[in-house]
Amino acid sequence: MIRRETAKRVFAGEYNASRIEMKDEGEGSPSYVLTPLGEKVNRIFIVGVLTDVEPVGESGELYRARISDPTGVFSLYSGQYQAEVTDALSSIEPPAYVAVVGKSRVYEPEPGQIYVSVRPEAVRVVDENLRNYWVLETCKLTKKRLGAMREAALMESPSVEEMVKLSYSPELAANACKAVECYDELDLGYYNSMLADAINYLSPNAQIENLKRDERIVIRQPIDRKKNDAAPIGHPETFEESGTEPTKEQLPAAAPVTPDNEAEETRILSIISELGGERGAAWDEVVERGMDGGLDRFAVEEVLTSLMDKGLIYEPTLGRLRRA
Amino acid sequence: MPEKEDIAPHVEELARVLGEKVGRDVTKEELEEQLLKFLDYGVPIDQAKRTLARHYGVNIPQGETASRPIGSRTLLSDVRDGDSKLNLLVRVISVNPKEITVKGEKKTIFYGFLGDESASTGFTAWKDFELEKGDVVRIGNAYARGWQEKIDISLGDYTRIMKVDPSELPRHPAAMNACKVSGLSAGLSGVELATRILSVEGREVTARGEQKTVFSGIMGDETGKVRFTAWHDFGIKEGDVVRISGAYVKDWRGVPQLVFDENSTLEKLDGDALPEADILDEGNVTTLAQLVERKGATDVVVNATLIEVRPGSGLVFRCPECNRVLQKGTCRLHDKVTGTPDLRIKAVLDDGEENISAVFGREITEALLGKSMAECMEEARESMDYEVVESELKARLVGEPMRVRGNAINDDYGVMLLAQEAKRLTVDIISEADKLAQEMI
Repeated sequence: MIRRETAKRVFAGEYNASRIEMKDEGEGSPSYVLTPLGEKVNRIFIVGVLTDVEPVGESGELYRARISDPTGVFSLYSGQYQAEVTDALSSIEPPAYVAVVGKSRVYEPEPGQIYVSVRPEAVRVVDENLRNYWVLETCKLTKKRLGAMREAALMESPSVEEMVKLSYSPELAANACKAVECYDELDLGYYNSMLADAINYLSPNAQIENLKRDERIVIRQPIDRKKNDAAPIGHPETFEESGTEPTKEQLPAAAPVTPDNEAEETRILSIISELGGERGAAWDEVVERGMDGGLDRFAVEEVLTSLMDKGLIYEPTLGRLRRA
Repeated sequence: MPEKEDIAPHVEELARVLGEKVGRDVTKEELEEQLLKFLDYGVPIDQAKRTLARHYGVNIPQGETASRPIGSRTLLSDVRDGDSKLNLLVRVISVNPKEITVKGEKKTIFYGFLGDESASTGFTAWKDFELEKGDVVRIGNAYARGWQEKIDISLGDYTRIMKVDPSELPRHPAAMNACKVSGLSAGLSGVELATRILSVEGREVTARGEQKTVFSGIMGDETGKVRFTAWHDFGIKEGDVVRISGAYVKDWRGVPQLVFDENSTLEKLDGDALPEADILDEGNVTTLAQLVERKGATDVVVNATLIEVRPGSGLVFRCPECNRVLQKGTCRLHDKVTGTPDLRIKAVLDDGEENISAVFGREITEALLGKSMAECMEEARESMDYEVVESELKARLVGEPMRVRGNAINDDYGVMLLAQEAKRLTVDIISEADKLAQEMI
């Protein structure tokens, strides 16, 4: 019997950063998106704000919708094969709180270049309370994954067995190890701040003390694993320099969490004009260039979201940005 | 038959394990002689070594002997359909004769249960091995067949059986499985747990021609509740707190059930050892992953999102004869009948880590809809469509977090929660978020 896929709860900030598509062993395995924090997503459940629905393509049968959560924006594509959902989606007047059950989709315009989206199976207009419940639940599950990833990243060679000994479930353990193995570069500090911001979104006064926003557990894979025996797979280069805990002074200065909005927006806009060719500027390049200015990835993406909300930029295709 | 040279390395290994005992308690020659004797009886080599070592006071843990040749012992829990040449060390839990007719000839076969430290399994002996209840036997060359989705051990003409001292298979493994109720799943044995008896009743049964009183009911601790059956009168009463050792867990209609008998021990504990019955009765919140791992459970509470309203929900019509839901006015058994209306929801519950099915009956469905069945019938008549109720359920419930209480049963299609209570889950989101904030680093 085929087990029904569980609908995973993942923030847009984590889901959109996914660069790995995978299948389980054995025939007939569905395909999964493996997120940077090791969630294997085939079915997904999202509650957020529907910000826009528009027809794309010539035939007018394909609709794109965007759903915003506290960390980013999900892209949904719904076509003639999901007529019921497409009808429902296109009849909702944004902005509106919506709950969506959907399937993960991968778009790979060039080998190695992966963009993820969602194909909805069901959509329903809900209220703010349900959205907040979803954010809370997603915070809890994200925190669980982040904990497992931290553990796996600190292991010399991440092993499912060792993780299970630390009382992680076999599934959580296996997925964390897989993510550490698959992602060349993982910045867990970034996701830690994303999570903290999502918690603050629910409770603005929640005191998150001692949050290591700058915590840099960056995992870099050796380029050729076989030749480079000295650096075992997944060896974490904790704090970049050495494995020792740095003192406070050694930590890099805290990245501005709330950037000076207007100045940054102008700067990012000019980056987009500069990089944008006919197809628009590649999202990743914009983010990278934006980070040169001293913002962290999270802050750049916040600026992008804000620009989109203001209608100054848009995504002509997934992963591309263009000025309006 | 093994030759002396063949077993020389094994004798050496034994001697190494026994250390200074060799020469003092036993000679190498004696070891070799005893080992050969075991092998002559068809005892697997590593079992023989382990037994001999134990005889001289040294324990070789399972799996640590150097060689595990074909013919090593298989635990009942590892036996699969189609396995043959099985070597087992088991206790005969029960044995009963049965008359059958093979090719026109009357023949007596025997059936019952065998158990070891891992599981208990049914068996069929195609001839009389003179097995008796309580015997501990080594079985060589048995085979396993799947029968009605259960494994049955077959003992035939080529099977060898040797009675051994019952101490070879301790009644309960030295280390009991200290359990909480939430950790019980079918197949576990050697269970030890402390629980409060929440209900108990005796009933007369006839087992193997004997009148016997069995006691069954529900017991629980702070982690959950479980049905139980006691095949022995321990004098337990409702409200008692007891510690039971040497119990095992069986699947009973898709729900794990704790079973204990005269081979188990029961000790009454102080009443304060566990929360009062009314506190235990409030129900235990279980994750869906736990429910799936436990393969069902008695009286649990789950908090999960109703992720899908399945087809066949809403207004349905049941056969007045057999209560089956009609398909297009037709019963599978009784053909065209005038159905009795009913209201139900077939749902999928999902907590982001696991998903299960759930069924909500009429009362719960009415409460969630805020409408009576009569009103639903009226609506269906007006719109000339019975499916209008299903659509309305979808529009109201998909994506809603629910708190559902009921019994979870397990079958070929997975776990299904039969809801006794269900309501929308209410959570104080800000205080939960504050709690989460405090756990952040």
